[in-house]
Amino acid sequence: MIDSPLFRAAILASILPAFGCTKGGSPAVHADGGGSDADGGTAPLDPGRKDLHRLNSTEYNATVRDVLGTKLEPANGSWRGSEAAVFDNIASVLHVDASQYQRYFEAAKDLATDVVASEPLRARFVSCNLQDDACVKSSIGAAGLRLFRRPLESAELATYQRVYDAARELGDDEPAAFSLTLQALLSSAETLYRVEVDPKPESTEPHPLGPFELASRLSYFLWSSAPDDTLLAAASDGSLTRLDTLSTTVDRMLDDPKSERLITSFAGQWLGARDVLAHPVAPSYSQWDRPIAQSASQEILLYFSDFLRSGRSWLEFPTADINFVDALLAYFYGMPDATATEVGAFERVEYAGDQRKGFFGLAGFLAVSSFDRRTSPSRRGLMIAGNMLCAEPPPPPPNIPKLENEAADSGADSTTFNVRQMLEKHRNHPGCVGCHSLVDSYGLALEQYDGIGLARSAYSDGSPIDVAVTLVDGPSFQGLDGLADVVSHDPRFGECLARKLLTYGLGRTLTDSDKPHVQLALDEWLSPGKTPSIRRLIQALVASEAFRYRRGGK
Amino acid sequence: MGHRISRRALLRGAGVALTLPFLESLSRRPLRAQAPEVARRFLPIYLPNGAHDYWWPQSSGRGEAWKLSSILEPFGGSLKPKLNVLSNLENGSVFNADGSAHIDSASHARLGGAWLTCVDAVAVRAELGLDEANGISVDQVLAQHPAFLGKTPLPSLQVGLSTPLASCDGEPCSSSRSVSWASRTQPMYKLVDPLEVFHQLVGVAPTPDPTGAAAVEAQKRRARNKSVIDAVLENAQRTRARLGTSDQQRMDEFLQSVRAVEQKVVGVSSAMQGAACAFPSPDDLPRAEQSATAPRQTTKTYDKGAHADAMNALIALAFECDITRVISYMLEDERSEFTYDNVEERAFTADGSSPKGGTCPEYHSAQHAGGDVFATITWWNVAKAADLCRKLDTIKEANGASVLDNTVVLLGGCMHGGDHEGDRLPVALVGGGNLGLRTDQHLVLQKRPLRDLYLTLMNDVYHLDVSDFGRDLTGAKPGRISELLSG
Repeated sequence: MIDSPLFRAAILASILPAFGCTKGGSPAVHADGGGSDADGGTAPLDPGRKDLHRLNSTEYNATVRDVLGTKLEPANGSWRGSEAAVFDNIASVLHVDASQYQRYFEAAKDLATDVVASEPLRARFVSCNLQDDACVKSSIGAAGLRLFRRPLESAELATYQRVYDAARELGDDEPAAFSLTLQALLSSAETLYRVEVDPKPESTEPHPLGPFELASRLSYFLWSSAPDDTLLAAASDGSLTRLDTLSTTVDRMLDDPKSERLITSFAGQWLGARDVLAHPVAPSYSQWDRPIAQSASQEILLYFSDFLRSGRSWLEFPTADINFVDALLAYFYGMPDATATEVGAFERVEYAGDQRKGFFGLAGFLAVSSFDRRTSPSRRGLMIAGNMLCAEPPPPPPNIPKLENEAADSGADSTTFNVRQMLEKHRNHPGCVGCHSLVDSYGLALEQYDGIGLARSAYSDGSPIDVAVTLVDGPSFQGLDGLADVVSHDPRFGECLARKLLTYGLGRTLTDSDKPHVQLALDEWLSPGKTPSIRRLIQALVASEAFRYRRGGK
Repeated sequence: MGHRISRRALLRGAGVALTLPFLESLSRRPLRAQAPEVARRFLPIYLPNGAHDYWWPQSSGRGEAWKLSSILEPFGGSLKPKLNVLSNLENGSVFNADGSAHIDSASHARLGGAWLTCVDAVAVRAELGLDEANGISVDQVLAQHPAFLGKTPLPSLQVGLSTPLASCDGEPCSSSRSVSWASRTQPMYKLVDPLEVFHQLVGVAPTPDPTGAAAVEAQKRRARNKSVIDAVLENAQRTRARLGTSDQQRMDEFLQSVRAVEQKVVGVSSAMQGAACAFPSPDDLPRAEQSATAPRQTTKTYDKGAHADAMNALIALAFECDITRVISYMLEDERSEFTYDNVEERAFTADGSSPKGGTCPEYHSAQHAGGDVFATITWWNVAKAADLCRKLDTIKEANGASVLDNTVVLLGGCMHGGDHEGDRLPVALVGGGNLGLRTDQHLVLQKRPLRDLYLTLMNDVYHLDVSDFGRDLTGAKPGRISELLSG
């Protein structure tokens, strides 16, 4: 069976990504997506299939904070998580096991105790006298609505009322009995999972999400948390399912401080801000230490935030000459005019001629895309082509010699060698040149920055740095400025943001059936006369059927 | 009589600076079940990032004929007679990009995921169309078999030393962080916090007879827990009925987890034949401290040695009290980027090592750079595994053998050394002398699939009837390694 051609084909298909080592460019996409009926009406496009979605640690902590008002953050480093497609909110890989459920169970106990012990927190759900039966019911209903993110049905209310009654029978007073009931709600699947229901679970026919399901999708996308009361109200009266209300809701949510979580989770993962903190750097780079790593990581988030908040065109992300520097980064970059004097207090600066143009000039990006003791034009190229243009080449073939070894073989010092020259020798291997030529050029243009992102004018062995490159069948350009310009004009750059946002927003990996949704959103986003801001793209994606619909089946 | 354990005794100072006297007091067993069958145990210990060349002994053969390598030196003295070192095993399950059946230069995550499964997770994911999948791991084949299942309170346990933010190589992180898989789709995440492991063990240990006022209070607590769990189960079952087949499977995973916790917090009495260890009531135990579980990058805020010692003691306790017979233990995640600044660098030769001064840097880079640092970190991890084996060897069982003699400890990694090669794997077995293993040898094999080692263990040591395992792509027919078997 293992030798069967089919099996082999399956493997190869999985290994070779959608965008192979041919000329770059977006795959063919049909904007009508086959959505037209014979009689001219339109049927919804396939919205894709999404798994039951367990909250990840970030979402759990944010949810209990927003809903309960607690300061406790029960989800810590040992809580179970997983990642796929660079994000930690992908439903298909978020499992539960007994150990993780035990953590939920214990956390629920702590949270319920914390809430009931505090008068203002308890008042969020209990606004009457619990000695009155109707009050018990309405209080359970109030907590259930916020935690399950939808109103409880009467049978459900009865389930949790039984918990309250059992506690009273055991001799607990009213607050203690309510605490146990809250614990039961917090321990329940409908709190821990985002449940979306198909009317016909095995049918692949698309149907619109229910208004409360849509509210949850929105709030976990933009806030990493449960819907607030305004959002629940818009779900309750059905207005949320109207496109105009949806749009004003997105605007309101992006203007809410809770949208900072979109920046730390989405940009924090996609743009590598989290990785900067853990990125290994050799001691020989003595200017790099944990504080500078923290500042460089923060700068990536602030840079993205500036684009999200200002409404600036995403296409300027590679070219805008903006930096966010605190005292450490100002010194690191050599910006004597910066006024920041503290660590962690950032100043927005725009210095022409500072050699820090755009995202690819940020120290955090330049460091995290390097090896620990030298630059790697291939790795930088991969992070640009694969991560920022969504055009990942296939993995390298076996038995690749290391540049260090090749340098040593050719008599060069393996710690100071000229990376560009050695790489050019290396990629002359016939099996290598195809893919290397697609990615390396992007990285070679950044050789004017060393492995931690400091500007340099020569390699350690004294040989000069050459940043002139030519893309395969494409333009020639020079250095950071040239790179920024080329990436900014590459149609894949905008499309890639759409794909990443949709992956994160849906919490699932994308498939071919998502291409028409992405294309429709891009058509709207890039329509002439309008600025292609991150906000407008989020609006377009949220309005797409991939976001507002679902289907059952496999 | 039950020993009360104070929170202070459990956690000294910050983080996981656990001290052990309390654990020793816990494990003093008043009595043991009558004429027990031999408890056959399996303990795979995962060595991250392969092993330095000085792992492999220079000499081969049995007894006097072979000498320990400089990295395996911690197994000197009384442990060497219980050791097997196997050279030239290869994991033949991982594909190259061109579809050929070989294993050079696969990523850390891909090789690590295949260590106990002998399956290429990338291939299974493609077949099933899932974001995350692998094969069942050999420890779980054992744990789910009637020879093991139901014999102990816990079917198996997964533990590890740390969860630093190591790169997952673009694979689902379960590939590099979980060596145990209950099925093709269910990775078993490990516990890294000693306190959580302790809870896990104590929560399922047979408790002494509950009598007196404290028992009434405990009974009430259990009743409260029961009403919470009942509501949770009711809610989940109602929800499940509205879901499609694949989401129902996810809800089943949830229900299964809830029921496992129910056993512990509702106190369903255990009819298991665990050894009668004197454990306190689970309700009296302290709660996990967050400081013990924060991501750890270096020893600046965290004592990795103490962490290992605590985990070793808990593993020994689990075996001694017969709470489980299958434990997988990851000394670190694969592609570990932990900075071993708790370990003094040593100068290594093939024959020995000596302190050199300075501390060890970040592991992944050190591995690929090779040299003394790589050797030192391999050696340090080996030494922690040897500590555990020595501990297991001091615990005597009813039949006069030690726990180690009734356990096969598999110490190994998923790649050869610094070059991502899935052949010539570092593999050693410790113990198992009472289970039919021939020991005290360095066995230099002709290129053999790792699968054959697992088939030998499953069939000849644990007496399962398993004809093939995993997906070996080298074309070698499934076989057993007869040189490992005594008599």
